[in-house]
Amino acid sequence: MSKFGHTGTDAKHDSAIKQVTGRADYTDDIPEPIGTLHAYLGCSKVAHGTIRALDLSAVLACEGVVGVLTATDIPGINDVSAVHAGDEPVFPDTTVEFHGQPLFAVIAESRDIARRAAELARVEIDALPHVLEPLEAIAAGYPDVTAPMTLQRGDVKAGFEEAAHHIKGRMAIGGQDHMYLEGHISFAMPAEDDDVVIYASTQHPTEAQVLGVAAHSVVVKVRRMGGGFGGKESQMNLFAAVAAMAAKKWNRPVKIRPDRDQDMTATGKRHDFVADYDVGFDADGRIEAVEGQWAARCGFAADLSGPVWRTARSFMRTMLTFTRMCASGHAP
Amino acid sequence: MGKRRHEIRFLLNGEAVCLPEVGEQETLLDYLRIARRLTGTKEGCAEGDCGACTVLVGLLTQDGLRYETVNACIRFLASLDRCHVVTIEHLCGAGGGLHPVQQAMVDAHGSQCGFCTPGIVMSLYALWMEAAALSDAEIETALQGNLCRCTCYEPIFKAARAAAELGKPEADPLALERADVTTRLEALADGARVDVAKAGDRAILSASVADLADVLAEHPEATIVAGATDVGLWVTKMMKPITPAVFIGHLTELRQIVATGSSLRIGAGASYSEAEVALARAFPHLLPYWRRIAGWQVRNMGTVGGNIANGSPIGDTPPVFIALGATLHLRSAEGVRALPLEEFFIDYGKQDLRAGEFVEAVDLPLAQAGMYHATYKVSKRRDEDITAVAAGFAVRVESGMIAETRIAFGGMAATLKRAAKAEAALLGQPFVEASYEAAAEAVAEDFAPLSDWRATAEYRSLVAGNLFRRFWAEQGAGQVAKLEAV
Repeated sequence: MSKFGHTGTDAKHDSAIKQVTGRADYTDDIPEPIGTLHAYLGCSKVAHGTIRALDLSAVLACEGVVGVLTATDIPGINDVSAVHAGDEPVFPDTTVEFHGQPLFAVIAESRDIARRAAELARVEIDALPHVLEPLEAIAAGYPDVTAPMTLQRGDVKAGFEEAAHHIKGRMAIGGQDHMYLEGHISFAMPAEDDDVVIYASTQHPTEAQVLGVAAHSVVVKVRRMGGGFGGKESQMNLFAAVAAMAAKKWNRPVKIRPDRDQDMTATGKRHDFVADYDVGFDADGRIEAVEGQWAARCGFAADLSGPVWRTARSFMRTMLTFTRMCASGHAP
Repeated sequence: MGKRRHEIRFLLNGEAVCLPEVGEQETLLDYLRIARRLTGTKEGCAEGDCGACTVLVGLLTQDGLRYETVNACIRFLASLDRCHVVTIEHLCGAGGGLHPVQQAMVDAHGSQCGFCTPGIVMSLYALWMEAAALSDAEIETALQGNLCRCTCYEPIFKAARAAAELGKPEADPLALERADVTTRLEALADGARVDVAKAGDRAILSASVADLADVLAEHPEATIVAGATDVGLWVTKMMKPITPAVFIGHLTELRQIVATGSSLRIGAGASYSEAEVALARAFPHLLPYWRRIAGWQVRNMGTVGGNIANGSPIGDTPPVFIALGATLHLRSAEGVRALPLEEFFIDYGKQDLRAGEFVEAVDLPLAQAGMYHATYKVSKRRDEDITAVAAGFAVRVESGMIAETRIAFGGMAATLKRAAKAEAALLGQPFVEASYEAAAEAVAEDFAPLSDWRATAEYRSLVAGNLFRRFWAEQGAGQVAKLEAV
């Protein structure tokens, strides 16, 4: 080690040897105690609608199915919003808000049984209109899911008046999945009193409100993750909550390991944006004023749209310093 | 009735495994992780895309014991009969410590979150066994089927280069146990028809190609499973029943590739990787296209016959083979028949395949002197992606006039099809740019493509026309292969 600590040395990753030999444990690698149950989510095939019937009798009739969890089984608050916005139910009561939204969970003796049984649910939803594009949502008068914010510096109006030239335009920036290699796997172990221990691949553990127990009763253990990249900042909440609720209800360890397709469709991902920009500049190309109107596709709930949107607007400057700028917009 | 066996037998690392109850849907990955707690092999996508589940499978071939990388997530357990499965847990160096590939990955900071790492180590290990000095292109090709989200790959490339300098393949534990493994695998090859079941699911491995015809006559409803690179997803993604499944990957005679005087005959069971070796000799200009079919693991598993029999409108091989004038050979207990490959594809999901019939081989004519030949694949990603539009072009020019054309497209219709109107626009016309412009316009009348998540209909139509312009431009620049007499 140098006098600056590890700086300037060739320090190896402390798990490298375990990782290259396959001995580094991720959540799904933890040995399952005898009696471990497996949960799987049943999800909506409708983007927006009113739930008329959720008949799980065929699911429950499957050999090896122990039970199901729906909105009525939630002991605490039916909300997994990472910003406590109260807009993100574990399972919806009445209204489906997106295609792929989890509606219920099946708990069974094996993952395969739970997954196949989930397909047998009879779900009746009266479809409501939906829009997918942020500009369409604004035009249709959809509300912002998080409060819009304006980032402003200097006298932008004066800047545009002084500017000899303008460039105006619109650009669209695509969204993407975070594509962590390890999915949203969660494993809950019941303990005495209200306690539960959750092993989860999460970047941000906050579930106690769903269980309706004191925060200290919930212990979340994360040895390592197979990638997160922001995709597990809040989205693990639902999976961990389902595993924990089931573990307490049946007093058995419960693991949930969604297939990659469900992992992607049941969770919201990195926003896409549409930005209208207006740049005023002088004859030498020096920027006098910048204005940006940002619309982000935030999905049905606030989640981390506020911070993501704020970051996007802050990064509008990149490495430049604009003396006169204004960034505002919508977060439908 | 020939010999029957009612258990699956294979080697797992150092151990002989014998399973009397196996369903056709059970995957190697679930067996490793759940039944055996060999958790070094990871599940990332369960569809053969990410490579986190990469393991080696050794099998006896005409050239002896050969190990290849496969995706354990879509490799069915029953298909491993007579194979040697090698997982990350079995890998070690000559002295029992880290293997050179593992050491190089540690030294080069090749892991971050580490979840893809065991799969990457296995791919690099397979590469390390094959080649001493590695070009960047070879390393990239070996890693086509391994996604890493953290490292940006450069440290992994460094590890691959460094590992090539470390250790000796002949001193590698797998090399040292080679003779022993060969003997053990030979002992498992008992020539029996294997027939196993579990809870109503059934897997059959025919004893020979002739026996395959018999099995299919007995079970015309059976699902034929070769490399499982597509059927695997029917199970892992769609949960579709495939029982009874008839596995054919172990049939060495179906994997044979034979060059006769006038044609190259590729057995239906030959993997893309096996076919690549033969194609590299006969049609070397096909290699860049060929290596854009999926990733290394999938090319090791997937078969040429499966790609045809499956009838997917975006199959990668048929456009190329149709342009080469391929003949398809079908077989059943009733006998054999042959037809031009393009006639096999009737409609979406409908091929000219009768009950009990299977694809036995495809013949590619070698004598095509004077034929300009080119193949194109357009997809969102360069590597390991499913085709949006694929095309095979073959054009013969005589005395400045276009005398023969075979131009086939994938991704443009419900089936793989020749571009009849575009071909008509070219045939008999002078070999000049204007003829290709006319063909680029005419191809719009050949196809009414669909929009899906890979491409819009408008994009596909534009690309199809532009590929004619590209063919003209590239042949003008000397970049299109002109086939020679054999």
